[in-house]
Amino acid sequence: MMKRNRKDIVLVIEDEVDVRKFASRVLTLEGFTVLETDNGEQGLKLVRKNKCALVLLDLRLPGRDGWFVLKKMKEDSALRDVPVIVFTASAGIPQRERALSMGAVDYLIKPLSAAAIRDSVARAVKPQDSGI
Amino acid sequence: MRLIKRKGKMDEKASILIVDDNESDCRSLSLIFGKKGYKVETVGTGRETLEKVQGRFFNAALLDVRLPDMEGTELLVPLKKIHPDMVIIMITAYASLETATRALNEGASAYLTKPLKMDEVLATIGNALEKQRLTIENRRLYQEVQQELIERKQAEEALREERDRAQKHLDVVGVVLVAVDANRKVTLINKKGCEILGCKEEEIIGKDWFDNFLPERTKDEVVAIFDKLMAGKIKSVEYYESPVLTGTGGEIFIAWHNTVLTDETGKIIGALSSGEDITERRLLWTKMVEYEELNKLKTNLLSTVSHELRTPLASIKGYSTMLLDYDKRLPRDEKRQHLESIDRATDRLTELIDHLLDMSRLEAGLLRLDVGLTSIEQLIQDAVAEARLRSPGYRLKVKVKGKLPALKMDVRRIRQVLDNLLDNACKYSKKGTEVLVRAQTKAHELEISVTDHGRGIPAADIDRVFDRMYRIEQRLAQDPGGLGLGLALCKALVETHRGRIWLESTEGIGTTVYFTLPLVTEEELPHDEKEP
Repeated sequence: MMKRNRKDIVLVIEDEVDVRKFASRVLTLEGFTVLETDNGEQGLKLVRKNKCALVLLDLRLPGRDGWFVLKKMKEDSALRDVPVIVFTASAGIPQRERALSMGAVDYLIKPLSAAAIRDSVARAVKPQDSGI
Repeated sequence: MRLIKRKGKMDEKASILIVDDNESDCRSLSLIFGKKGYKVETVGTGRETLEKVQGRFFNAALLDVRLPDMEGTELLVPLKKIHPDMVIIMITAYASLETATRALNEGASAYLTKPLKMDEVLATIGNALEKQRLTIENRRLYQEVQQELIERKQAEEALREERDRAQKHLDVVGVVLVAVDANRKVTLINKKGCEILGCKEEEIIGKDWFDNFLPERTKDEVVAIFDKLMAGKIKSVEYYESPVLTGTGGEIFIAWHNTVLTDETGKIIGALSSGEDITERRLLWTKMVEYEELNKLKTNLLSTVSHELRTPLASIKGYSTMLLDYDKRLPRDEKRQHLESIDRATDRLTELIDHLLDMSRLEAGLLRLDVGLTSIEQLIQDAVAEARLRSPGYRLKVKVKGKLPALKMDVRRIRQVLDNLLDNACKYSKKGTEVLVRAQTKAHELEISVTDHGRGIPAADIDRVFDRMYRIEQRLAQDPGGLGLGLALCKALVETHRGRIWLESTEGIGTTVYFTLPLVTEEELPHDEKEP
């Protein structure tokens, strides 16, 4: 098991409550501090206020969607380097291409196993103090 | 008038040939005739006579019976042959009844005996010439009349041919041709027009076009166009489509081109319209549009279905892998919560699949109703009781007017409709608000309604909410999720029961969905002991 600095904050933006709770729980089990929200506006507020190590972003959201959040983050020099993992129920290839070209580090398609989230997050975030 | 005027002139100029070998007779006759203004010539023999009349016409011949070379009577036939109209008067020195009769039979006009009484000769010649003149004039008139008749007949023939040809042209064109006079009466319709309208020509000609062949809903509009044409405000109408009533009570669609008709002075006397039957083309077009829409819907449906299926699957996959991977680190009650999430997600999946299957069965006409006589009141109470468990925190109430009869229905399906409407009512309104189910009998049906005090439906969308997938477009606007098949399914199920479904909604105030089910008629009630 990887040792995590509790200071590593991951923001989960997902409107389906069961899916959000699942992702958040896996991340807390992996040692992250997790912030959650079900919409894009709130997500942007949270990512600006907190120094996040990673954002887990659903694309289809009520109001401002995941595309908007991704775009805003990449336009903001303070947020540009925060890795974003997109996870979505839309399996289209064009969407995947678009998300990656916009700067997402990974594009995960639901349903997801706990391992899929764990592995993708591990690739995106190197432990700050790499235990042993 | 014309005849009288001509009379004198002709008498004066009439020519007479005297055939006699007696020179003194010839002279005295020539003298008398000459005095009377006749042109006279004389010959002495039969042969000379025949030579003389060759190529020359004499009005009359005075023919002596006895000639040096032949009998005068022998000349009758050849003379008549050359000049059928020639007046021939026989003259003889001796009277013989037999000769006279023969002469008259062979064409002589009269028979005179010598010594000649000049008055008698002149009178006889005069009468015979007058008769001849009348005969010739009659014949001329007759011929003129005949000629005129022939000419008129030819003109008529030519006219008829022209009309036939025009009619044939009218008939051969594949469009309706209608001429309407300023009084809106039909003055012309071609064969194709009759065919398309399903009427006989005589059933159309003289009828008011607008009153008899246009449906009420578009009549005024077309009359307005016609009035503009008649007022000379426009010369023609390039293209417009309008429905037309047929003789068989049907309705067809015609694409029209109109032109004004004017008389020789330029006065507008009516309108000529050519129209093409575009009923089938329109039908095809509508079908094509429907088909394209359906295709789009199908693509949307697939992507939505895929998305909607993945969401509960995400819960199942996520929580089950979490339970497997972190089994030892998870507290017992948390594991239980995760299992409950999986359970909920499988229920959701089942519901989605059921909806899809029901919808496709309904669309394919494969849904079978399991119909039985059931108490609707009990069904409502059961549905509301269970909805209270599914949606705690809402004030679900039932108001029933009078005693409700048992209905013939598929209990499971009507329950499905009620469940769906109740869930919708809760889904789209705030906790703590009231959801009211009402039921009452009305005329031949039972009306059930579900009223909520939720956010309501925009007026522009009310007509569309029963469409499949309507909800998709609303999806991004805080929609609580789902496939959007719910109301479409309710509609199909209610209609399969021969009921109706509709809704009234005001944004921000709430929505009431109504549906009806037909009451069971006397005949349908099971009366085992009923007398035939």
